[in-house]
Amino acid sequence: MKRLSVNAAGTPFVNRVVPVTAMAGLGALALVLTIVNLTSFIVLGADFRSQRSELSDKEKRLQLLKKDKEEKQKVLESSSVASFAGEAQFVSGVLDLKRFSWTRFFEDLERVKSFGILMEGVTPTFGKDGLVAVTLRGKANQRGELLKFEQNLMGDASFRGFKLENEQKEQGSPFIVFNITVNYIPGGKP
Amino acid sequence: MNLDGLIQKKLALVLGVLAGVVGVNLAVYFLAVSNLDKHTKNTRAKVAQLREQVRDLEKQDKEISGTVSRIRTDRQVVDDLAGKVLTTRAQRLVTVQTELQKLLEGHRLQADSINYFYETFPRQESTWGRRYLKMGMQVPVSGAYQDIKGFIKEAQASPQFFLLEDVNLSSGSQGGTMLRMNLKLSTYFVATDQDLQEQGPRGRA
Repeated sequence: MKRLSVNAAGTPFVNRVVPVTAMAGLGALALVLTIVNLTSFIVLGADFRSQRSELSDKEKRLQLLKKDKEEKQKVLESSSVASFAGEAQFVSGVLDLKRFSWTRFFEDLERVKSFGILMEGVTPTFGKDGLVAVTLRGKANQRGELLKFEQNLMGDASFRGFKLENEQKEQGSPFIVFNITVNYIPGGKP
Repeated sequence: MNLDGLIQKKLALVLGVLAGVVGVNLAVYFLAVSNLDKHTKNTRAKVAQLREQVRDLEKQDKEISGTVSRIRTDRQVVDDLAGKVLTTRAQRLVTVQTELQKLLEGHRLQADSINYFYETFPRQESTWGRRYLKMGMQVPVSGAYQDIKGFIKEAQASPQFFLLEDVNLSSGSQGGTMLRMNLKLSTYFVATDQDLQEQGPRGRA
């Protein structure tokens, strides 16, 4: 049965709102999506290419560095370096003694030595940490002079870690024989 | 054909095309753009990780390079010291003795006897490139304190590589202006095979 369509208007009215809205909506959506996709492709593509290029550069650099490190590590682990280490340490010890300025040491010692002290022996020992430990052997004409010397040594910036090892009165004389160890710091500042 | 006719006639086609475009766009977004975004993010993360690794390796490489360079410099210093300064006993012993005599006389110091003692380093056979012969000199001197100080200063500055190991005041010297001192000096030579044979396995004379 055919559906009866009756339109009594002078000019037949056709409702275009729905199809035009649908077309406009779909058209706008299609346009927006196309723009989003195109922009994303361009932006992300450029970013991806740049990241990929940087990745490749970094991988190459990493390989190069690993190779370089391995080669240098081999040099360090080689027997020639191991054998040189012992020789270098020995030469370093010899040069430490060579660098030690006795004249400066004597000047510093003269500054702190009290009048009644007679130095009998001075022996420096060079530690691995670069510290110079000095053994001082001498005689004090009366104990008061030794105490004064100790006080001077403890108050002077060039001498640290003062340690009186022993003191002994000489039989039949006013002299006190003593042994002192002290760390010597040339040009030490208070 | 008026607009209404056209709309009525082509509506389905236009809507279909537009829907197709939207569909294609959605498909492109989910299949391609989002994947590209994911890959870009992954690559960026990898780059950041590699950048970190490269930074760490560069730091390590710098440290190792520094060590290798220091070793090369140290080796050069040691080689120069051995080859140009210390040399062998045959090359330098007489010069050392002459220089010592000159320094003593120059500071008006009297040294009646000098005792020499020898020691090789390293004491045992080793992997060092060379061995050293230490010649110690026990020098008893008598003279004024300022002269002894002057002697020590010049001996230390001498090109003959004198080392002063310790200083001892001899007995019986207190009270006067003249001091008697035992100076323990030493110098080193590069040991030759002949030196090593003479010193024996323990390196003692």
